[in-house]
Amino acid sequence: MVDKNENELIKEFLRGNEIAFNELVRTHQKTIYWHARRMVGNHFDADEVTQQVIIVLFKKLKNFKFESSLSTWIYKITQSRSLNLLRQKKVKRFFNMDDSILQKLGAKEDILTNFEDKERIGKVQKLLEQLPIKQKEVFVFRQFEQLSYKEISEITGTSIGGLKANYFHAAKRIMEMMNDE
Amino acid sequence: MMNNNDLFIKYEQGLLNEIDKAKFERELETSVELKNDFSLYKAKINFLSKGVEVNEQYLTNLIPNARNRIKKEKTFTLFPKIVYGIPVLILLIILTFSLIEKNNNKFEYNFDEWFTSFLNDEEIMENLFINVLSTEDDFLLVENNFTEINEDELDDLLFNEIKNSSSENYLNNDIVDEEFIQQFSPEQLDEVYSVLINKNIL
Repeated sequence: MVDKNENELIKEFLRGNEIAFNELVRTHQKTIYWHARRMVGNHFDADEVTQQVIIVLFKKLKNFKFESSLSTWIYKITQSRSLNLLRQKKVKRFFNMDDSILQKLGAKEDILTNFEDKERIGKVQKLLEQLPIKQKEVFVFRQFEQLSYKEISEITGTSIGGLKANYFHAAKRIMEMMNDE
Repeated sequence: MMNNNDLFIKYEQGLLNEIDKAKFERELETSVELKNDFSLYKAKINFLSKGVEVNEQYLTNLIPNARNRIKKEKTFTLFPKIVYGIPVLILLIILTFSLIEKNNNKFEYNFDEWFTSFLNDEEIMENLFINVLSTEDDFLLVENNFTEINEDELDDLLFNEIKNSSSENYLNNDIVDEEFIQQFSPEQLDEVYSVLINKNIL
């Protein structure tokens, strides 16, 4: 269920109070950004996904049914937008239209301020890139967002058994890659 | 044989059954090696999900940036029909006119070509002088369908035509302009007629 305070903020926004919307976004923006970043692998694309999610929230919040948690709904949007972007990139790569130059330019404006963090996040991204999309999805939700299998199942629509199996393979692969380094 | 990493993952994720879980916990208390391995595993996993310092300015700008995009999208969705509509309309007009023009030319050309295809060279020449060519294009068209123009033949035909026409018709026809004739006095005209008669032209 939606947090009582969040519930009020949504209703306030739907009555036309845009400050309430800003408040809602501020609560969730880090989660959106980091989930997108782990899924898409760089700041440039993560920024694009984050902005898309905020725009979707702004436009579609009126359609939000108060049956599930707002964060679950936000995760669903973030996840689908991230997957869409990955698909688009795959198609672009296929037609040699990859925007990697833009990404490199965007990388200069990275959100990370600390050099050590940049290095570590870079390593994590490389590891995650090696995983199949379904394994990466569950690994990110479980390892980084600390979500339960039930929550992940609600977001992704995958069975809990399937998620557990995918997580196991993902974690095993990650450990192997880390041991090889 | 399950390696330690598999065991650690399963234990951490609650994937071990109660018996295996109890066995693992017992071993963890007794085996120093397993304990060290498990600590290493946990350190690696924690390395992945360790928190990071982020540029707060970026997060502050996220909402204004998204709002700007919403504004741009709004203005863009208001105008696209007009923005794209005008050039499309212009293109359609140009295309329609060029098609009409092309069809007209094609019809005229086809008619003349069709008409001349029924005539032999001699008939084409007669047609050329009897009906008088209306435009230079017509002449070129006839010329194109005419295999070989013989200058003498042309002169003969012209001469015969003048000869067979009555002098009145000849002088009043398009060949000699009426205004041109009016420039002459009756005496001058008599003189011209006389010369023409003497030369057997009339």
